[in-house]
Amino acid sequence: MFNLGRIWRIGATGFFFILFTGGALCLSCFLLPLLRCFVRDSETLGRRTRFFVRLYFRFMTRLITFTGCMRLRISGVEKLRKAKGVLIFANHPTLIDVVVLMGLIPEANCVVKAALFRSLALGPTLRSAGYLENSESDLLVEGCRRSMEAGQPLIIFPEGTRTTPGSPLVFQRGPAHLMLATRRPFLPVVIRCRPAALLKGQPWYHVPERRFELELEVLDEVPPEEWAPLVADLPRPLAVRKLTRHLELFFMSKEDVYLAPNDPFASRNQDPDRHHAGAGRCRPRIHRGRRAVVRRRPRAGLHRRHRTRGGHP
Amino acid sequence: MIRVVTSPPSRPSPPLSPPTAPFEMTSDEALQKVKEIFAKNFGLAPAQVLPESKLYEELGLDSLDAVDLVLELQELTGKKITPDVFKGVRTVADVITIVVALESETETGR
Repeated sequence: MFNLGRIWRIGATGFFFILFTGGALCLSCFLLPLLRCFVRDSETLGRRTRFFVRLYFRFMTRLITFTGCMRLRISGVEKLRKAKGVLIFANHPTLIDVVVLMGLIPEANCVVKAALFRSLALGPTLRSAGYLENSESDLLVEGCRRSMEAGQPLIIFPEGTRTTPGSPLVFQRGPAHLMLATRRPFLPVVIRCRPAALLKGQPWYHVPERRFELELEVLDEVPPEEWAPLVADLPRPLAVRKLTRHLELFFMSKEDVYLAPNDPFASRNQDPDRHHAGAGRCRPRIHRGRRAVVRRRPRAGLHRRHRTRGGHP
Repeated sequence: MIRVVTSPPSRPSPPLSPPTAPFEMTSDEALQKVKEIFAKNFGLAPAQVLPESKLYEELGLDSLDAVDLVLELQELTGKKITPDVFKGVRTVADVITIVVALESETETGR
């Protein structure tokens, strides 16, 4: 039997990529100029733009869930809604987690990958919304501090990019600088994607066999008193490195955060050694609508093994 | 009155004040001082810090670390370092050049 569900989800995924880009272009080309006519003040413009971005992301999340591509499970969402002027740290396993997370939090500011600011579709919207460009400099730390003092929750993906399957989490040092500079509590959000989908380096059509479940677990706020003793007497660069490592270990200790390299849908480019131990086969069989058949070449010699047809174990 | 000296005798003079005795810092001395700064602040082993080591690509510094490095160098040389002076710095050798230049400026300024 054809996996009709999978075919449907591949088509839907392609459609969502187009829709997302198209929607972003509409926001930039139509809504933004309209907003700029009525709003002069850059702060109000930022607030209004973020409101529409959040509305758009919520719509996209609902659509993706409604079409059966994703199942969403969130625990502790009330902590996100109450978050004001705190840092929100989340890991970043898949492409869609940003959209979901930003759709949940009102008034949230976000540190966004620098390359997206140069994109034609997203660039103007991101600049109007006042999102912060991830440039790992003291200007970013200053921008983040100002945003938090204004009472905005600040979403940061400390990895700066999606998690690389098969590698431990590697965090940038900017978040630690920010923690030391502002001494504010941070709210960890652990994001899990099971089975893994929309991974780094993966083509868009590598959709898992079944609908993936995106789980957002919002943990309790971590006050500065919990990590301050770790870095109390250290010079700042050493303190930043130690704090970054502490954050990495904090997230890595959570279940299912590490993405395994032998995920059948992880990109081949990410893993140069495709013949990894433990898999038992060179390439995972993709269900092609009939039972996967293993054809064995008859062994040359006196005895020929009786050929069997059947599913590979 | 007994004066208790808490700091080791080899410690440099207090920040932002010129050294009391005139001396010329050689490149080797500057390299030693820079290695000490890197070991204390960035946890880098002295063997890793070579004149040709690139600060950002090899030693893992970023622009925020550069700010802290400038503060340490100001404390070492007793002179203010402007961002322009430090903008073109890419390797440890560049840092040593700045340190030696600032020390000799102090020397000639007396």
